[in-house]
Amino acid sequence: MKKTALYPGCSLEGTANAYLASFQKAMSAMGIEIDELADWNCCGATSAHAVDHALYLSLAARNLELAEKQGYEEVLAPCAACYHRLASANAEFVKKDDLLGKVNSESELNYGGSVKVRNVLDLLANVIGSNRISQQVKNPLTGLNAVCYYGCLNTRIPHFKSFDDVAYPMSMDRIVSSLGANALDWGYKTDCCGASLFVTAESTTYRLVSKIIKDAEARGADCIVVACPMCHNNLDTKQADICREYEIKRTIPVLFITQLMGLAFGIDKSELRLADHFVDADKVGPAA
Amino acid sequence: MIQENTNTDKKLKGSVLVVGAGIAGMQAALDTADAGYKVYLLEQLPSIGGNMARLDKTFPTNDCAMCMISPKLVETGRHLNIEIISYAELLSMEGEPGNFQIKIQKKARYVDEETCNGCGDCERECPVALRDSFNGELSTRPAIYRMYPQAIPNVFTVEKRAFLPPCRGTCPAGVNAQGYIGLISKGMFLEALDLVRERMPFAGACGRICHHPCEAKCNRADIDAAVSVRHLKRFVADYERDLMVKGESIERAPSEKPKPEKNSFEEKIAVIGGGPAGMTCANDLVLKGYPVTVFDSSDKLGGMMRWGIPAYRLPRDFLDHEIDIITKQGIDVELNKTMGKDFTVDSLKKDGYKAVFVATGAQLERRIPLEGSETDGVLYGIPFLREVNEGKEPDVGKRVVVIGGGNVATDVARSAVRLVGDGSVDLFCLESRDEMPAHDWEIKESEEENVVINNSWGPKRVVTKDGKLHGIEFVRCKSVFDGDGKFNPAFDDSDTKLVEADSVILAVGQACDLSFLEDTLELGRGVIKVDRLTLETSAEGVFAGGDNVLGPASLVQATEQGHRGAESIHRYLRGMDLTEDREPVERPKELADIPAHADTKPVARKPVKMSCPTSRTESFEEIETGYTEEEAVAEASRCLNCGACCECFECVRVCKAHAVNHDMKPEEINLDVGAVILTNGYDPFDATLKSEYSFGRAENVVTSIQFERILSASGPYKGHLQRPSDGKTPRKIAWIQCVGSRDAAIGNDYCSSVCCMYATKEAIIAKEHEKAVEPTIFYTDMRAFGKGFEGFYNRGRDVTGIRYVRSQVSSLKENPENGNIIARYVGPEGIVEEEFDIVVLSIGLVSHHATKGLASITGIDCNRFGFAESQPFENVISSKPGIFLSGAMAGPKDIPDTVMESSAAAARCGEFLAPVRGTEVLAKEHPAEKDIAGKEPRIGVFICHCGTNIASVVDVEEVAAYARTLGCVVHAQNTLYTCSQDTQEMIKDLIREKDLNRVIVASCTPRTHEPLFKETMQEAGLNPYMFEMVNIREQCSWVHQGQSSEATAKAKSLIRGGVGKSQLLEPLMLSRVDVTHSALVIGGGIVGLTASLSLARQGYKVFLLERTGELGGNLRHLYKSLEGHDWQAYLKDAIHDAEAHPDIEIILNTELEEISGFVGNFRTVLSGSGREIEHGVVIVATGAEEWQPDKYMFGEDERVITQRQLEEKLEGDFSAKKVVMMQCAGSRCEEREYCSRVCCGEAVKNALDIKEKDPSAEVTVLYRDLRTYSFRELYYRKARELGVRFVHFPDDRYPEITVRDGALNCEVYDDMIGETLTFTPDLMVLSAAMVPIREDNARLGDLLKVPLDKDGFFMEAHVKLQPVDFANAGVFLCGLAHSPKYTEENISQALAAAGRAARILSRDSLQVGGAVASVIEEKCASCLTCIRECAYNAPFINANGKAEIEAAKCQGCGNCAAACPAKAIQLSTFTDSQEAALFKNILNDDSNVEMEVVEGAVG
Repeated sequence: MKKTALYPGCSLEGTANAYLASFQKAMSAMGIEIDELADWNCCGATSAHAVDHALYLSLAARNLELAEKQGYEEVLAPCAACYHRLASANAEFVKKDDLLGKVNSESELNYGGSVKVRNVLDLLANVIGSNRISQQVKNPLTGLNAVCYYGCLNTRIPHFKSFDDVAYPMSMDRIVSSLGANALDWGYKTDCCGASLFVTAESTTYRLVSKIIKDAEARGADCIVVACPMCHNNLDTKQADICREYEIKRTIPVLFITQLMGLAFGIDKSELRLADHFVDADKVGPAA
Repeated sequence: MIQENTNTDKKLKGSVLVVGAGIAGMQAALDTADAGYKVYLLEQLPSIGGNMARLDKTFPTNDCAMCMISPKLVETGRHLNIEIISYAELLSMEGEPGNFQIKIQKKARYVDEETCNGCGDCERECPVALRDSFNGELSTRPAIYRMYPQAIPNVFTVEKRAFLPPCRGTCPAGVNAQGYIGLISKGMFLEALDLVRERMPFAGACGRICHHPCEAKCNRADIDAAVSVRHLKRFVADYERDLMVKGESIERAPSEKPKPEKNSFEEKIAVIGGGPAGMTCANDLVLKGYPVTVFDSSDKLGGMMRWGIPAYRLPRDFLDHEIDIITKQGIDVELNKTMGKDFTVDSLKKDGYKAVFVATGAQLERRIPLEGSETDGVLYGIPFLREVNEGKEPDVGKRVVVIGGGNVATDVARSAVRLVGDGSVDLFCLESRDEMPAHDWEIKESEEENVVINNSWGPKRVVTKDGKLHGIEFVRCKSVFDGDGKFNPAFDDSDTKLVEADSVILAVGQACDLSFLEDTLELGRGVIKVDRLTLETSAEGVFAGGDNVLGPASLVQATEQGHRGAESIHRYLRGMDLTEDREPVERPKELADIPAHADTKPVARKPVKMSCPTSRTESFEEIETGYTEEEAVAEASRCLNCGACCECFECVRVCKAHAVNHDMKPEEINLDVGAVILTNGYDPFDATLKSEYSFGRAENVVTSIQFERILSASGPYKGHLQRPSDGKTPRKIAWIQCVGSRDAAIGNDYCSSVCCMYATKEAIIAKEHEKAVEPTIFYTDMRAFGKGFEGFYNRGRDVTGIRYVRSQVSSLKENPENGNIIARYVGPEGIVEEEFDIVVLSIGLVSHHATKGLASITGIDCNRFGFAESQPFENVISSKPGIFLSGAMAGPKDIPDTVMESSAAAARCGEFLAPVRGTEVLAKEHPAEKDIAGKEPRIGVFICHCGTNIASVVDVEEVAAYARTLGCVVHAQNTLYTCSQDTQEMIKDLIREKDLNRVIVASCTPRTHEPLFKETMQEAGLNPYMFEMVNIREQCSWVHQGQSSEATAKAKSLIRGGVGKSQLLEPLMLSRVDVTHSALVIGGGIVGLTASLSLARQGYKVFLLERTGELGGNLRHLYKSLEGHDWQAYLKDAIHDAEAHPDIEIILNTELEEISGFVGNFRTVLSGSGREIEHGVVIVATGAEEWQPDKYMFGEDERVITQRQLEEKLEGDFSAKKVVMMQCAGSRCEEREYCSRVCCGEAVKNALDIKEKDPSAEVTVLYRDLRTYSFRELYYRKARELGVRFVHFPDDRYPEITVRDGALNCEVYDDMIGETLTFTPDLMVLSAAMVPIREDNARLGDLLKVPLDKDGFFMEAHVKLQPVDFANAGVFLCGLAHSPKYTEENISQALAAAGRAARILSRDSLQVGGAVASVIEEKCASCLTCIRECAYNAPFINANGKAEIEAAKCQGCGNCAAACPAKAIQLSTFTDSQEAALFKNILNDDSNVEMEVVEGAVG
């Protein structure tokens, strides 16, 4: 494995702390160590990239330069928004001549463009691989029906060849299968969850989330597995309200992929921070 | 630019290779062969027909595709000069144009093409089910298959895969698991058992105790769970035994496999050891015919199966039963005879044994040094099990400790459980749970039976108290293996424990006792040393195998050794090479993966039932229960058939023609040909690449090709419109256009040309199937550009009620509640989510997967999409001389364009190989016909079994006996396959021997077989019209299955009718008419010039008629093509070539005045001079013209011009800054329903030209549907990229063009944004319609007696398959006179007309007569009915004022005969009296009555 730095971003230190905790547990269970990038800064998601493109490129370039300086070949960004920003900037640097030079000189940076950006799914499916994951399984999640929700950002980066199929990715499904669970086929893998509209247009988010939950419910999912803090937030926090409003029969626990791995690896639920979630995830496990 | 043949030396070959046998290849082959060249037609699939054979109907006429293609298949299949090489691939091509050396590899079909009659008996027996790719994988087919019922060659093919299925490949004994599982799935249990026994004589034992490595590798495990292979094997063994116990028959269907005579060899063989290895060896040798004696030191046979395996796993009576079956085959058994004691190798040799197989097993326990192990109560596993298995019940007390972690240990522990009653059994082993060598299921079952498993403990010492066993002390084992993975246990001495026990059983391994061998055989590491391949020992004639060679091994491994030993002994005794072609002991590494066509839907594995753990430990009764028949069939049906063919050889058994040969090898074919025509076609786009459409996941999302199959009567649902998920009839059906086309994101940025029309067709047909269907088509531009397409589209919208929605669907999702599909798209009011029952993806055409390889072999160029690149202006000429192209190989196109190109390629080939025309073709010669005038009818009747097709329903023997009783029948007999080559010879002999003058064959359909039998008649010197065919298959056995006696009676009636008619048959004579080898071409534009030049270059005289004083026609006004090539230079060359060619006579300022005659012999009077010319064919190439608009300010303001005028302007000074173009000016309207096809491309061409001249110029194109089909789409895209604006307006809201304040004003409603836009262009360009020259066409149509369509263009014989022929033979059509087209398409069509014409001109004479109609003048009332009815203009009023039928034109269809009110017309071989005799005799069901012979029967 190439030398990789962890870029947690703001959400993994805040709302998605369970993602970070479970990620670290799952990795160390497999004997993989990933250090945090020292002195990282904001990735430029939400507002920066929308209001000032140059600022966002500088923010990304600084993070990537840090990685380069600290001797890393790759940066792992578990948050889909961070991943999207860092990978997009990187792709822009490659695509547009002189852009990197311009950003470097304006921001007094010296990023060489050598760092590869990955997200957790890419790392798990393409670097670590199902074999190594399945070898670590202590409690196979036999009989557990999971739907994998990739969200909109993980596979859709402009000018950047996606690590998986854009519209119907399978990497998370394969990881879930290697944990012994059934990854169900469903059509909402990459549909929009409403993202930050949750704050500004709640009803839109409710409608979008309701479709996702409704279909997952109809397919008999026991849980929804995600790899993005924002997706998790939208699907989990107000799910009970949404189910009531849209007459969905039951709520469905939403877990980070790393939490599901932790369960299969036999890591204690409290360490995986399952209790952090709004929809009760305590019963997720092998079918009785 | 045109390829002239420069290869002038004598090496030129008069044969042509056509690669790809879809409609393009068949047409090219037929036209080339008919023009006098030998054709080799290469097809990579088992049968010809290509994609067209999969279609249900074709647009725009909705003709049945199969009905159209089937006659082509038959014609191609039986053409004397077309050799079909199917299931074959091009390997290499060397040489030079005119003389290529071709290498072809013909794949092994495993069915002999010459012998197979296509009867289908094999198909019914095959147990394999693979998804049928011909049916879009919506149904399954067997591994031995025919692509479709009408396939040519009409023979079967066995599909095998490169590697063995994992189950069979992994089995050490090589048991054909897929084979027997397949047979079980068909309920053929005994046949399955026989197949098991070929490699595993102990089927029942193996079915119980095998550790089944096959299941570990089963591909099914990747989907849900492995197939229960072991248990299925057990089932068949149990099945047979149950029958035997009940005393029922276990007779098998007779097998074709040769059985050796018993005792065919006399060399005696000794087998030492009656375990699985020895018994397998003995079994094999006895079956080979050797006398064999088995020696065993015990009192019973079975070896470790008996003494090592506890009875609860393998009941003794079953083992005895299987041993009994083996020994009863004639094996001598010497029990209680121990080697080294009672006999030796030497003594055996002295006793006359010529070979010895030593299989004495591993019968010793392994011991470990352990303090106190000599104490009473310390036992060893192997002797303990032996004692138990001998039926003794050793006293082990109440507390038993078993030491060991392997399978012997668990057997010991579980046996002990059955002895201790309510006592305890503890198992201790060094290994952790994961490391235990015992199988998981053994551990699990042990625990169920209350064995307590204690992991990671090693025995330290046996503890005694008072000299008696007290217990055993264990020490904690930290690890079993060291860093290198070697067995090297490490202990933690501080952690020990004492376990009290009444007995301790050590089960830590097994070893071989080889002490008896003394020094006779060389040893190595505790086993006998052998050659692993042959099992030869150090002693001559002595072989060894099994545990004493391998160390303790499994039943399957032992069996493998037995087979291997037997084979070696046989070879040794027969003096054969011991090593040749032997497979090594290691099984192959490469195994078949899940076949692409497997059905991978999860189906739960049928559980293996076990008796309850508490009750079962009370005895040694068997604990596992077998499957029921239903369970076995269901479980066997889960098999994925990874090897495709399972090699059960049932097909071999049932094939009465002995055509199946599983040993067939691929063969190489070498050919020398003069030219190559590539017609490789296309592949349908792989819809899984558009993952947003859920194809492959949502069952009710289907591709258009699947939907064709759904609609097809021969499709998976027999033509019933239903959806795949639940069989429900769909109501709402949606089509999504441009799936895989016009899509730069996936690299297919061209248009596939055909999808708009086929979607419309499918919608119309679906609606015809079910009135309730509501079709919706989502599209981008409706591209209805071909002849008759616009009308078809209008009909779809207005009559069928198709809802056309101009929007691209962004995603399809399955509704999990009902399987419906939710389509998401942008409608006028925003985003819509609409639910449909089925969604059809209109998938595009992509380059054929084999094209790339073909291109590299032949050296031609391909474009970036992988389609073959053609020369500028010349669609059928590749980048390499001598290699021609046709059809979708060179880009997506529809069937008429494809057929046209094939005829064009044939013409180009004919030009290229003109000097060697006719040099390699064969002509059939027949013996002189016997004169049968005045002779009594002597009829021979042949009644076909058609394998079992007829014979299984109709009692054919009885029918033959009956036929013999009928009048005039002098011979009647049954034939297995009447169509087979040997039967044809027999019929010929019988004709001579019995002086037959009429033959009747009662078999299948005349459609495919009548020509064959007629040919046989001619070969025997009989007139072919003395043959009569009776269909007792399609019309009898197939439709009356299960009604044997009625079907037999009906067959008799049908034959009786045939015999009645046969008596009245008359010989018909064919006459020959010479052909005039010259052509008349009417029209001197580029089309007429092209046709003339092609015919002249092919060696025929041409009269080129042009009514104006100048050659060149419309092309004089075109300067360049969309692709940027120079038309004027091309035209100049063509005119020059025509003027210079000695065989072309150009006649200017002249029209056709009068024409008479018929195909091959026309006579024409020219206008003006009144000169008469004679010619064999006519080609109409009279063109069309640009419409001069009478609106849109055209003619009122000089700034409003047509595209043609714009092009002229662009050649000179051009300065306009703002140009607006308006499409469909005069096209697609009430007066002219059709699309003018070229205007969109012309507009894009001129727009690009303007932009290139002046990038700042503003160009706007106003359009309804932009129809830049095929690669023209790329220019449309380029225009958008360069800033040309395209504005869509609705069909019913044309832009308004006015002049305001001196400025041109164009207002257009843009329905995308819902606003009206206003332009003030410098130039307003009208894309004016292309219109026929109506009056001239009408006049010429009358003269030539050929029809016009409703738009005033000439009407071809058949829109789809005869695009350049008129129904009137010898008259051809091409160019704009046919319909609007691009110039390069017109050129192809001109060549096509020349190619079709050459088929006639290349012949010396034409045959006339035969089965044609004729008029009885006395009865004719001259009412003209026949003239009106005939589609071929055959009848005319003769000098007597009566109707007469021109035999040369008559096609024998019978329309006139049926219509004639005076009954004055008779059709030969279908005369009234003949038909009356037929029906009278069918209806006369008293078989004893003398045959009614109608008066007038000739003798």
